[in-house]
Amino acid sequence: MDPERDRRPGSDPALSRSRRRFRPPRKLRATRAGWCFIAIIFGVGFAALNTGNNLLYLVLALMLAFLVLSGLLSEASLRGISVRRRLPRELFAKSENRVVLRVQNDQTRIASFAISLEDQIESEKGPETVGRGFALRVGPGESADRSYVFAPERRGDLRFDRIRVSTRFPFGLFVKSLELEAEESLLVFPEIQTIRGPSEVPRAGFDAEQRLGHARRGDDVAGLREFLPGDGLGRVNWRRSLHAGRLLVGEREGEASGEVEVLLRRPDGASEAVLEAAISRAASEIVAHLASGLRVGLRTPVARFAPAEGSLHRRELLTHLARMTRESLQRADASPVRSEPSAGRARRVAGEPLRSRRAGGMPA
Amino acid sequence: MSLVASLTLWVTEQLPLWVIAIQCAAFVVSFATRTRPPSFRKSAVWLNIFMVGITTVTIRSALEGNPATISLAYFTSLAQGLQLLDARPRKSEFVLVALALFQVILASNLTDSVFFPPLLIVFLATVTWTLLVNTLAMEATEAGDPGAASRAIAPDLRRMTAWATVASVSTALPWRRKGRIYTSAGLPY
Repeated sequence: MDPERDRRPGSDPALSRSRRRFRPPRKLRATRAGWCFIAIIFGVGFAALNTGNNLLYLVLALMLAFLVLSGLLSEASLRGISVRRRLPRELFAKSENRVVLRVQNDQTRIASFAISLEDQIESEKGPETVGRGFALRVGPGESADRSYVFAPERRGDLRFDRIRVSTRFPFGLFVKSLELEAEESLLVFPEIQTIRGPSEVPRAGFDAEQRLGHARRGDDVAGLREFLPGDGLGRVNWRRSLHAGRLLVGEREGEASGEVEVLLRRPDGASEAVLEAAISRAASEIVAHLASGLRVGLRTPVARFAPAEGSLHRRELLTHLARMTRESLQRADASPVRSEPSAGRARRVAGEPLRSRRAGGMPA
Repeated sequence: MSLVASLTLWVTEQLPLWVIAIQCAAFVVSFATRTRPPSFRKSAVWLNIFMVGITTVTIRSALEGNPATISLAYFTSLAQGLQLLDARPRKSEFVLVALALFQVILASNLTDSVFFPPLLIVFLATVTWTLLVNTLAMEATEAGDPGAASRAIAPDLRRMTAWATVASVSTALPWRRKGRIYTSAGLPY
């Protein structure tokens, strides 16, 4: 980290927006050596004026020419530079994700030297640098890939902002920088923890629960679940439905083979950290079980997802968890749970209380 | 760069021979032992003792009634030699460049030799090259790849140095003429 490069005015979102509108194309900041050089120029200038010494004038003129040259060469280094960001397909909170920045020098003759890249995201405090890259030389018409490791602090929507390109080339007296617009949005999925196997999953708990469907065969009724669009009327268990006041469908053994439903309960009065831990646990279970070949469903106070498999389904479940907030959970108390059919999969939502299914019995 | 800067002071004929001899010795020792510097070159105690010696010489020169510019010339010459001997790791070579620049500025005050302008142009080329390479090395070190700077020293960097020197001189000449005219106009005689 370089404090001279990092030094920038305080940022307020509204102020930064107006700043962006009236932003100059280049920014120039003197380094410590640069300030010393400027001071020496003033000293030599005074001495030359007071003494009228020709050679001092010559030195002064060369020092001033040096300043002009510094500006020209640094401009030549930055001109024609474009940067493209390549983000990973999935980004998980608190895990190391590699972001690639491709620097391209579009000039036909002049090489670019000492190019520093800073990737910025939009945060509550304004633009925040999350990664850096450095290219010592990018030849004319050439490109160079630089990457950095990015570990997002939290899940949810993340907006990449600008890419700041700067150089101290040629003499290290000034830092010239330009800001390239490279806005991009990405969803950060919840933090993934290591789950070693189904036996490691907690059987009961505050945060997330799961139900394992055992590979069973036969025509015996294994349990009940809610009626979903697509279910035949012949499968409705009318007696139980009348009793429960809603349509219930009998689920047969074998149908639920290799299925898991992850349950995320609403953490009453719990802290934000507990909610985050619960979401992270649920996401970890989803990822682990899908990886082990099971069909996974998700049930939260907000929505229910039928057990399914595949990358689209995985993304759907993780997206739901990534966008979940305490407010949305509180709102869900007032409205019934939505059933979310999973993309292109059988629309089956696992039924009633988990413990009854886990025990393998049908609820009475 | 350091040698050219020292040459500009040597042509003033204001430095005693022993100062030039010490400077030359510093050049030779620092160059000869650049790969395996002896312990005194890395010892802060020894280097500080040398610095005290240099300061004493400068003060003594001033007390003898020499002009301040000559005393400063003693100081910059010897301090540059010491800086070359200093083999401790440092972030940049800006101090060396600053000392060389001071020598040139002092020399411009102390001489009207015809050799000064050509030396100044050679100094300009060397200082441009030094600063270019030093900046690249600094940036590469900061980026965690100290060896990259040597790889970047390509023909286009040498071309750039040559171009920059010519451009500096051609940019400087009109300013210099302007400065002279103003000075002449301001003089009462």
